[in-house]
Amino acid sequence: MMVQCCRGMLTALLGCLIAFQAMAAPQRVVSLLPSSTEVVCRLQACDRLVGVDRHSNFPASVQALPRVGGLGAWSLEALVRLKPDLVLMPHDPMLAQRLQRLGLNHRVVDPKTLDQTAESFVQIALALGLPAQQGQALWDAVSHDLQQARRAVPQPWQQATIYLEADPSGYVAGPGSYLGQLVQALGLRNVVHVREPAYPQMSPEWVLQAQPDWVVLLSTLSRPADQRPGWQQLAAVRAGRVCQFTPEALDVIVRPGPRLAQAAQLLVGCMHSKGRP
Amino acid sequence: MHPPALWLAVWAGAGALAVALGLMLGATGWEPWWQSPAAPLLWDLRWPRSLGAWLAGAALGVSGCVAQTLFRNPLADPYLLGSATGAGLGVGVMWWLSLWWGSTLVWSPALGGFVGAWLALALVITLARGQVHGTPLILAGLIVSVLLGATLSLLLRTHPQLMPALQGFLLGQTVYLDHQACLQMAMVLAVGVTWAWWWGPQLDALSLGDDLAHSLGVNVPRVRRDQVLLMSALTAIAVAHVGLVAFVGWVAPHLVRPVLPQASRWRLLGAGLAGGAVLAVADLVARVVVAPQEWPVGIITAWVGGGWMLALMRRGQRKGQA
Amino acid sequence: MTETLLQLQEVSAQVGSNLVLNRIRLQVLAGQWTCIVGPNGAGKSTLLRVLAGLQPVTGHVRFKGHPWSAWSPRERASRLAWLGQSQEEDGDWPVRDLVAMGRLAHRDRWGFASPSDEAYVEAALHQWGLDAWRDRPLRSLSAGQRQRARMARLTASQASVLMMDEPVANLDPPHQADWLAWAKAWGQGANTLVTVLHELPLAMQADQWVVMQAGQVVQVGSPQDAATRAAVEAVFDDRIRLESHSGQWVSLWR
Repeated sequence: MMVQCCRGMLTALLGCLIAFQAMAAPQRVVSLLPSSTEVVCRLQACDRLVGVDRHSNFPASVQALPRVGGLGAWSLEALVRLKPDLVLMPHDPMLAQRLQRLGLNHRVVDPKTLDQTAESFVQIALALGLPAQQGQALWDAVSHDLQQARRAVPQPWQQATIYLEADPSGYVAGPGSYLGQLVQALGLRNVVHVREPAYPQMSPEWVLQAQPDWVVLLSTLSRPADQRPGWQQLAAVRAGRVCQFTPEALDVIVRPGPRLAQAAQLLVGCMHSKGRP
Repeated sequence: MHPPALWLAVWAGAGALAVALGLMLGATGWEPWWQSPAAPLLWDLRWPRSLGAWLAGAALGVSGCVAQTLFRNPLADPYLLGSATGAGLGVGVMWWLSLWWGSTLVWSPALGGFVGAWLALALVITLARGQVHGTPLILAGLIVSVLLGATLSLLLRTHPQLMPALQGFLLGQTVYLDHQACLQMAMVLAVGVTWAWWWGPQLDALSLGDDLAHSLGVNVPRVRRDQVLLMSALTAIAVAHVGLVAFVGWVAPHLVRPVLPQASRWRLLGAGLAGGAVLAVADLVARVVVAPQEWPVGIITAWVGGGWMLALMRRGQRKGQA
Repeated sequence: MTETLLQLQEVSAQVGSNLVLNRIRLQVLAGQWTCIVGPNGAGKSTLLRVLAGLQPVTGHVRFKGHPWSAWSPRERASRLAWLGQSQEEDGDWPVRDLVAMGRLAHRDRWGFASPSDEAYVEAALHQWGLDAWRDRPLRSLSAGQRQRARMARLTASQASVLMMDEPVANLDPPHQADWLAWAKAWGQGANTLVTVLHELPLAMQADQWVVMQAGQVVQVGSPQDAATRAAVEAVFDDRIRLESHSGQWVSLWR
């Protein structure tokens, strides 16, 4: 009788605690970064999303959500109308100040490196009122898939040098950038050694002299490598070791989110299909 | 020809109407804020934005009027003295600093813009060796604009992640205006307009030529210096909060020129009211035309201003041929 | 004994990199019409600007015994009015507003005109026959009417010292005669007039001539004196001759 009573009280207490935590946890979340959107959904909180930014398109269920603009062009009114109790935003001081003055709860989650991406999973979990372990577990799963992708890199191309072009005007993903660290996690070497800034603009001559093993073009606007003047000098171009991706694939590759292992697999898949020793 | 006071009332009324409509129109078209479930937030969002747009437009209009008087040139606009580029660079530097110190932002971007504008002016005055008139000043302003613009471009090149956000600023945006911004702009505008109105008759005399003004008892160097300060203060506060909005400062004095008397006092008031109305309407259009998205308000003013300039040119050509 | 109104001592003036006036010593007496004559480039306009306190100089310029810097702008403007040579920037102003600017030094702190200011403006408009054109912009008037409007601005100011640079240059002979009539009538009182004139027959009506050449004052004297006239003929390289015909002075080419 006593035991039953105590068990009952304990259950009730636990239930209260869980309910209390659920009440404090934000229920109306607006995500302003595609990577944050993906993290929220992977943490099983997709139903709490009430609005996303213009570029968030994964998973498919978020495509039906109201849009509140993109970086540099927010639709504040649309955001405010959603009455969010949590806004996951990128680094934007003006927006942060405005949200603060409006009294809206906001959190800046804008990972720029692989380490920051790992942190972001935990930060978003905590912001959602979930235990930190859930975020950590998500990262562990992603990290495990990343290791698998690393082992899948074809034998001749382990430790290969890779040239990651982020922008047709010559911006390259250096070792200080998220993409640079991703390829480093795959065991590949970045042909650029400049750590700061993260996306240096390299001279075209330098590229021709550096002779990377692989050329990866990360912008849909990039001219095909074989059509560029002087690029026939690159052994990689002559051998066809140039990776270009569809816009959907690029979405996966450039976002520092839970699909980063898939991004790595896309890169490795390209190496398998194009690389012949 | 209607009496001038009537025209002032027309412009004031147009501005008031635009601000009132701004409270009613939103991301989904006609939606008075009280009818929305997010009423208090929408009110907090809309009134500073509409009023702030009017205040910034008024500041730019008065500044443009002073610029055209200072340089005795109807093509002059308030950005000539480099204050706009200085403000842009100031905002960019603030953003860049926030990358290191986090976005909780001890310093506001608007403060950076304001300080940047004044530093640019100081540079211009130094370059022009204290000559506060005519060609040396314009030349110095151009040089400083180019130099600071290049510095800003360099900042953006080395930190391309600043680009999308700063782009909004460079085009002119009213989306971040809050009650503090309105307060600051209102204070500077009040002081500025009072000063300009006080010195109205002296500014009139100055428009006839430095020698004549001097002979009429005007302290020419001091009034000129004060004109430059006024122009810079108004431009700086407006640009700090709404970015580099195109054409408002240039077009506002031209809108009132045909219908108001020559005297500075009328022109300044008219340009202020017209500028406020123009930017308030442009803000409205920017919000509504592609709702729920928005365009930066500077695109609207650039089209209107460019179109007006074109019409003015055609009219001038026809007159020249006649 | 006429008092000295303006005194120049060792005055040199530079315009750009040119030394336009070279160590001038001059006295202008009150209550007279003084005319500065001489060839082009002699520095006449610059001398007039120095007298009006518009030109920075080395040396001393004293108005009623005090340097110009000791006079406040309002005091200076209420005593001395100046009309320059080229006045193209006033085209957009209505006549009445331009004339009213002559009263600028008399307005109150807030820049408002008093009833007496209005009265002077009306009187000046009437005196110069501009009532019908009071609201018209200056550029819509003829050259003669424009000049009359500018003269009205000077008379509205009620200044007792007027300085004019080529006041009749764009006027036809009848209007020049009108101007002369006004100048003689105006000079009757204790008023001082200082002009730069190229029209020597007109200048013959002045009380005093200041003959200039190459930045120097060559001769000061009455045009009735033969010596003064000889000095003028000399600075013009003897290419002119001043002769009297039936009481009227004319300037003939040699």
